[in-house]
Amino acid sequence: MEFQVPSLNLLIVLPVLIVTGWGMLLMLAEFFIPEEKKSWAPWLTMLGLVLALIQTIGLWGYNGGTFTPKGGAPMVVVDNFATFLNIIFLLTGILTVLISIHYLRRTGLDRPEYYMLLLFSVSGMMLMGMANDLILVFLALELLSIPLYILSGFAWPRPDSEESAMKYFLLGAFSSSIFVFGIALTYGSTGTTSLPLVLERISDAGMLGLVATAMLIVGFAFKVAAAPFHMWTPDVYEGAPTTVTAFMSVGAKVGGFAAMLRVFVAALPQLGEAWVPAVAGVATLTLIVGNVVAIVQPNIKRMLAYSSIAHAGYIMIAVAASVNSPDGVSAALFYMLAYLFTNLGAFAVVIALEHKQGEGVMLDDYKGLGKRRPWLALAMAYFMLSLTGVPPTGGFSGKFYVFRAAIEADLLWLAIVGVITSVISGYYYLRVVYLMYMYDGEGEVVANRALVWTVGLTALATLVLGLLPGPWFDMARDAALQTVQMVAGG
Amino acid sequence: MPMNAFGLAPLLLVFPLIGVLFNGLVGRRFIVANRNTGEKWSGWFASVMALSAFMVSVLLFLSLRSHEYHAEVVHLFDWLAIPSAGFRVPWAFQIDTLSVTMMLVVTGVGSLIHIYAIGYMHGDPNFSRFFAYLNLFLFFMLILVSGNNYLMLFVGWEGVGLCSFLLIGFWFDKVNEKGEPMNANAARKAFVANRVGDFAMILAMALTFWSFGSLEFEPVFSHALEMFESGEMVHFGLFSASLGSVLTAVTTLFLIGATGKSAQIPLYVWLPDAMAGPTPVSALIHAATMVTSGIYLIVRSNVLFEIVRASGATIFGIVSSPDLVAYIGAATALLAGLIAFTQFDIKKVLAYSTVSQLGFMIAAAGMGAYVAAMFHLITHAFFKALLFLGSGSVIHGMEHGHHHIHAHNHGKEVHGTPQGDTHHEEDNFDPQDMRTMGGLRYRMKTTFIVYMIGALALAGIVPLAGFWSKDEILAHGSEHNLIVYILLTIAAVCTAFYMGRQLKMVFFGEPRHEAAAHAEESPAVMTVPLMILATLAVLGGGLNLPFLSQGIAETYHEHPGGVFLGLEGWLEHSIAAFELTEEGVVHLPETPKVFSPGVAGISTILAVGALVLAFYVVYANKPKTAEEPDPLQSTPIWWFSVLPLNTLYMNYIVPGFNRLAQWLADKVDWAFWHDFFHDRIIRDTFVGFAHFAANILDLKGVDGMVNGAGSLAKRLANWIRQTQTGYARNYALSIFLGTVVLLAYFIFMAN
Amino acid sequence: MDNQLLITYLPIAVLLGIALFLAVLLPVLSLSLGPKRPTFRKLSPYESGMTPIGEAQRRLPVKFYRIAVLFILFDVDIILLVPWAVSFRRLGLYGLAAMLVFMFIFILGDAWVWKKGVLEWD
Repeated sequence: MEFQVPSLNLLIVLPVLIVTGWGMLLMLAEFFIPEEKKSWAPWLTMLGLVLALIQTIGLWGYNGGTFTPKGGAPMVVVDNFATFLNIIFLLTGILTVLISIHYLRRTGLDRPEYYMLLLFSVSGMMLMGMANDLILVFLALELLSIPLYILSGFAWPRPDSEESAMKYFLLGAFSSSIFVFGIALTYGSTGTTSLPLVLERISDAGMLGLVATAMLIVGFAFKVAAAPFHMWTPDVYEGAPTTVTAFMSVGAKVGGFAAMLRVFVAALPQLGEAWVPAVAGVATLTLIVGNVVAIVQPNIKRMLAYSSIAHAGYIMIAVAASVNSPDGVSAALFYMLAYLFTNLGAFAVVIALEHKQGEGVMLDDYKGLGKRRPWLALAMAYFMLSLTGVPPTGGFSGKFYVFRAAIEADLLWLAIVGVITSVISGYYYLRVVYLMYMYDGEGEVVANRALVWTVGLTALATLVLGLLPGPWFDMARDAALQTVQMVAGG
Repeated sequence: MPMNAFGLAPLLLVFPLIGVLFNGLVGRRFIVANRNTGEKWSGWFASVMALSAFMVSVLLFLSLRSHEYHAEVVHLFDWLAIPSAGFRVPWAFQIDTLSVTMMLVVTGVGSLIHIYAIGYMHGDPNFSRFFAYLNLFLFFMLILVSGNNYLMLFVGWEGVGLCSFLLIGFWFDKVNEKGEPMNANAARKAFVANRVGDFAMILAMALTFWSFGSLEFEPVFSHALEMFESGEMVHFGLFSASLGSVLTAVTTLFLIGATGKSAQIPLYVWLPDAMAGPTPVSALIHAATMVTSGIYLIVRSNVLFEIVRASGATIFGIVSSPDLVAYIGAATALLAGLIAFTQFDIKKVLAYSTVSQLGFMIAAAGMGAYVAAMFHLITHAFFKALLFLGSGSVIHGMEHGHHHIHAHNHGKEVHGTPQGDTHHEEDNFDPQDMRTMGGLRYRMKTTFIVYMIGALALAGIVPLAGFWSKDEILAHGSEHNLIVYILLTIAAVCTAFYMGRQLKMVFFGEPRHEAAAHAEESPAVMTVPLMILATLAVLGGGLNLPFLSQGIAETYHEHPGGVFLGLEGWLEHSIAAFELTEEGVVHLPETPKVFSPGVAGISTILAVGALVLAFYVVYANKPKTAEEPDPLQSTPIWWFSVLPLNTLYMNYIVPGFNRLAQWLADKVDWAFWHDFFHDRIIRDTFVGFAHFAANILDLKGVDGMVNGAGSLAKRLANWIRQTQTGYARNYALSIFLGTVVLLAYFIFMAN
Repeated sequence: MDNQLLITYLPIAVLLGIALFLAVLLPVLSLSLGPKRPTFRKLSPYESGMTPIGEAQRRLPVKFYRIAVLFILFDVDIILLVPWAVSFRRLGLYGLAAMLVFMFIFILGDAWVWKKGVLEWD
């Protein structure tokens, strides 16, 4: 057997290379930067992320693949779908750095590894959207997860942080093993792990293909925190440093969905008849569990954890709709964009209130915020409304598109479940608003400039997505069409 | 990229509806929890919803501009459809320049009034209910102006009537000296008077559908035009009638509908009484928006009116229906202008003034000057809202002053000094009576200035908004209908006179009551909207400036619009008659495009003269005290107050109705009907149901459902929460079980 | 074909089912039917009377785990290197370049580990 050198086009993986390389560079640089200049680390990180972002935006509209073995399909592809998601990941990274700077200093967690791990995790997420081969999906998944395991435990020697890291790691390994099993079964039934080839052969794979699909669902559902694979979420979110929680709640979730959309829409649409009801069922359970249990949480980080579970449910609706509706994928993409800004904004406010590690994270600490910090409270109220899905917010637009896609895909019942659970969600989101404005209270609020900027920018972005969703949704549609076309072409 | 926000049109209705739901369902809880913050939430939430609707209107405006003013119909769904009868009424939005103009006025002025009301209603026990009604009103008003068919228009028409009823009777528990619930009565009067108009509307719609087979604007108008061009008859089964006569009937019925909603002769009687409602309501509903829906209806149906005019059809050979519209408008303008002389209630003066100005608009629409009518509608919305809100500010200030002296006297009484006379007077103190005011210009500077601007704009003084719009109507009249022109000119003189009288009595001279001497300026939340409206009242004329000379007109001939006649250039695109004029099918009476110095000069001189007359002659030094009679009462124009149809309504219609009711009641077995049927069956059932609704449904059912849903969710949450043990092994088990279930499902699927 | 494949496994599934059933049934039966008369002695871990002292699992210093983790890394390194060395000629320049990149990253990590003082025992 003659070995063929795979085709290489490093330009299209340049953003990932920049992020990974930058992480390694920071690793080395740490030894050469004098102690008093260590505070440069976040800004250097940001520089790398911004460079990658510029490069990524430059790739908008570009379609191509690389690492293509002879006669096979590329391992890594870049299309608008991947580019759109990469923009989300890089924005998540940038915003996380912004909210981390001061938080890490005041909680004594300011170690340079933090930013390195962040970069590695971002690169993993980016590969999730670009992976065109199940092996690469798995590698990306691990690259995304392992830094997160460490980051959750970053607040050692606080026991709950260590506990959270341990739980996340154990359960992550458990679900990863199921996921790998799924990949193995896919390979066993089709003889390939390349998504376009899987697409061609999966209809002949029979039972094994279906079993593999089930296991792949488990792997993704764990990563995006969908019920009943969500149990780790509240504990991990509560124990991890809040900035990490913020990063995880957006990045890891969107990363999971990125690969899930790619795999299920681009490779497994023929099994849609089987997996759509399963995903819809998982979505329903997720929506109910997330929204209902959030009601009784006294800790805002736990509440937001359940809220993030619930939002995974909404995106799952879009995933379930993506086979039979042309707008399913774009609705999911738009939803994730809106969710990125809203959720990171809300977490930025949480961080402003967490004056010491683990203090100021109870709902009662929000009493009277409307009087103490009117602008911050207003922003928080707006984020809560957006998470509930009240117009004119990005959250509303996102839900609107998701439900519309669901109705188009003949999943009216699922849209109804979504609407009802949205109403339930008002109960706990608006309670925050209620506490902020209807009570008096006191407590320290630490809002430095970077944080205020983050809150302002995310609020503005949420507003823009709420008032003028059209152009952004058109962008998401451009991004989604590529995926569907690939299906048709493949 | 051309902007396309037409899809946002449904949001116009969504926003106010959210406001209604918020204030209707939970607003009260906020206020109960914390009066001050709760009020802010309730009021600002409603205001933000109104502002959001305004933003949507602006986006629609911009979209229309970038789409070269092409009307757009945003179809939501078919509302009523009976395919076998060819009956189909969609729920669709007509987005064209006319409806967007109305939307902008309704939401723009509406938003300002919402904000103002936060200050004005401060401390009212039913604060959130008020805002729920206000938002509900906006909701229906927007349905009225945005619908693309007569049925939607009618839904909005009825809805705003309902809101008007609710808001006039907002303080329904208020009674006058005789113990009559006057506010509730006023509300009922408004409702009943409007029913007459609504009945005409229903007939008109039935006739329209019967003749043209549709209720949507576009098909009706184009169908009517086709028939007009081909000279076809309208067939009703066995009968047939000429198009002109059918449309005469339709338009006359529309006119009757408009006389109800827009308070014209003979149905205007309800509007002055409607001032019993809170002042923001008077400003929003009974001056700026709802009462103009009659004008909107006529302008919207311009094609029908113009066909009637062109066909030469008349009502019994006397007068054609558009002319009738013009005469009724002009007569109302004059009559109401005269009545306003005799009023002492600051708001009643404004109410009659509103009736009068609506007459101007109706007359303009009747003469075919649709743009002028809309122009006056817009400027009137600005300055009349301003005047009403200003009067609200005055009333607010007077009440404050009254509270002030009351507290003062109370303090004195404690010290043992009796205050006989003043005390007696206070009990009958009416903060709206202009005779008790005077000299307020020192106490309430901001209010004074903006009120002055509003009054001068209304009086038609150059270069304020009212001058331009009124002048356009008069100029049109001078060319097309001399009778209407003369009537309107006299009405304009009256306007200037009663506004001069009001300004003098309220703001100038010496305080005639202690309350006036201690009046206080209103808070910023009230004065800022006033200032915005004042700015609009000053600049509003710029919307549709006529060409100043023939020369400029010729220069701009190729490009109408721009600085001059902007509104005309804009509305042209939805007033279909314009296009038809170009094709030469029907002839639209053309409004002079060039400023006519003669007409403007006459009206300005007369207006200034009337102001001077009021200021320096009739009310120069009088009245000096609150008890002194109005100088006008010695002159023989007292009969103005006798003449109006209010008397007719009270003397003939009401007793006539009562007699009819009595006659009917006597004809049936009183004992059976009243005692048994009414008391036993209807009343007891009703009372029983009311009890059921109040005690069981509301307390146990609705409240129980709200609380029950909450506690159910909580119980469910606590139950699910039990699974969250904190042990990683249990979590792994959950993952495992989930996997097993999924696998089982997929294996089941495979077989 | 798949169905046949499954059917051949049917006896095993039946056996599994029976085993599972019995495994659940017997403890449940003994729990519900058997008499229970717990006394202090019976409840103590060893009826002989010895009370256990200390934890059953000994804690090891984390240093050992660190070394173990490093060992695994080198292990993986070797697992990758050996097959590459075997087919070195066939993979050619491309293989060499890829391996160099890999080695570079690997050595970078080692340098970091070293610099962080992981290799120091005390």
